[in-house]
Amino acid sequence: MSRNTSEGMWAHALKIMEALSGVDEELLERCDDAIVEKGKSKQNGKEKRRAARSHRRPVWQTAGAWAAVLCLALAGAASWRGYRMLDESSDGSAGGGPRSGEVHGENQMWGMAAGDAEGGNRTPGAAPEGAEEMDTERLQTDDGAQTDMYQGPEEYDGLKNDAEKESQKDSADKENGGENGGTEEPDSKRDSDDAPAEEDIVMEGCSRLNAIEYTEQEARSLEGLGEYVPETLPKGYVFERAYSNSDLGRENLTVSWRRGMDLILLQLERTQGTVDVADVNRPETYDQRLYKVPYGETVPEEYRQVFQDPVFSLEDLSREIIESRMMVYEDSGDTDTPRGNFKVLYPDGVLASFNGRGTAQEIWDMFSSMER
Amino acid sequence: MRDTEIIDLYWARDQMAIAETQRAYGKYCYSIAWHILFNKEDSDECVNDTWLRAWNAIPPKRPGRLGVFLGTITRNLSLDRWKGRHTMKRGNGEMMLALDELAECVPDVRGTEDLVEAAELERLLNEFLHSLPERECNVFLRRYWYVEEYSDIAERYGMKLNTVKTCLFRTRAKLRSYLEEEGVVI
Repeated sequence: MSRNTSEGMWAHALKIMEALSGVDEELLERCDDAIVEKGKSKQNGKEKRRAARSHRRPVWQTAGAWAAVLCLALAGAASWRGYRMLDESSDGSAGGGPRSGEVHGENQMWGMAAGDAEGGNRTPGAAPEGAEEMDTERLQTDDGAQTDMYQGPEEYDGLKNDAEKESQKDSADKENGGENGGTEEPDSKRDSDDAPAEEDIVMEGCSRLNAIEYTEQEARSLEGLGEYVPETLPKGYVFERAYSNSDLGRENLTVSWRRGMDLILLQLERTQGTVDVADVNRPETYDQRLYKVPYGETVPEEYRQVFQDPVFSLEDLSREIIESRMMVYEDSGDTDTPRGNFKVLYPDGVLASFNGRGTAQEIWDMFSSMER
Repeated sequence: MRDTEIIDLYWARDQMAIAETQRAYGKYCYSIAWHILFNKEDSDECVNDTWLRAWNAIPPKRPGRLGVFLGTITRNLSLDRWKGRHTMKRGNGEMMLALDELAECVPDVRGTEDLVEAAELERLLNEFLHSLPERECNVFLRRYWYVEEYSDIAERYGMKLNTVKTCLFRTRAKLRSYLEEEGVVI
């Protein structure tokens, strides 16, 4: 290995760079966690820098600067008074109106600009004290974790600006709500109070799942889909969660059960159109035992869509079919319970999507206990 | 949407999983690709390829930390693409600078040792990073995992620019000594 050839050195450096991809997740997560603290640390840094600066500078230098500012302010005030007096004496009351209106308009513009920089919190017409704070640093700080990371081209700056506009719109909406007599409901207020804290922890731009939660009993007693919640589950599974997603616009119910690290997720929905059903006489389209992982490389492209998530009609469903979809994968640290996914279409149009773990017999028993 | 909910969508083979992933991690992954590739089109393609890889990998995988999982895919794809485009050729962006710096860490060992396997190098790097103080490790990862600029790192951690440079210089020197002690030949 020659240390003189920079090309060779890059190749070696690239090996280190690539090997870094295998860094422990906890180290990366720890390194990412600091993003949340960013605003805080930046603020502290800024304050510290300011304090250090003022500490370092000689007193006369600071005093001189302040004296200059004071002189300018006095000169400005004197000329403004003179201007007003001249204005009143030359135009009388009729001419004074529009001029003062112009000045007011200018102030409004200043106020709006400052308000923009502050995320729309400033009321129009406010004095422009905050104008010098209109720096990108402030905007980045307010933005949140992911936006801060970004240093790229305009498209994503556009996204950043969109996020700002959204927040401005939200705050404007809040102000309007307040002006309209403060008719905000306590719940929505609680949501808006909670949201920023959660956004700090999770990620900016993630919306909450608009779900109606149920207990297992409530889920079973739901009219329509409740009948499809299985009575029998593989041994050891306990109810975890049941909910309907209100945003889907169709009848749906998701139920999950957990057994340690194992999970069964059953999603029920009433389909509205036709659903393509797998041909059980063509196992090459759905039988996972015929292919090796990664399936993306071994399953022929023409079968891939069906293979990923086959739909079987209820009359075709059998223990053998389920067995063809429940596989044991050798993942380090994972359990050896078979896992798999498939869907079952019931005659009344209900589609049951299964994802989870258990032996083929257990899953077959589970489906046998469901409404048929 | 929380990570677990997004992963559930993948498991349910619901294509909303891609949209939700894009919303939650689009900028994050783009940022990783951009710092390596310094090219909008390439970065976009890498991010899209990341979603495809994730779609093919989940299930059977169930990543514990979705962000890191996706970020690692993006990084690997970006490095591959970078290699394809810049085979031994200088280009723009932070990547070249970062590589120049990392070249300082290549140990100068001449002997009969075999070339270290990639997996072994990964293990050694992990061991080394775990031995570093937290701040030092974070700065190193921001520079050589995320390929971020010095100024960004300084801003992120409220450090002075020179402190970041010094910190990285020392860490690189430590890494080189460490790899030499381990008798690593890259």
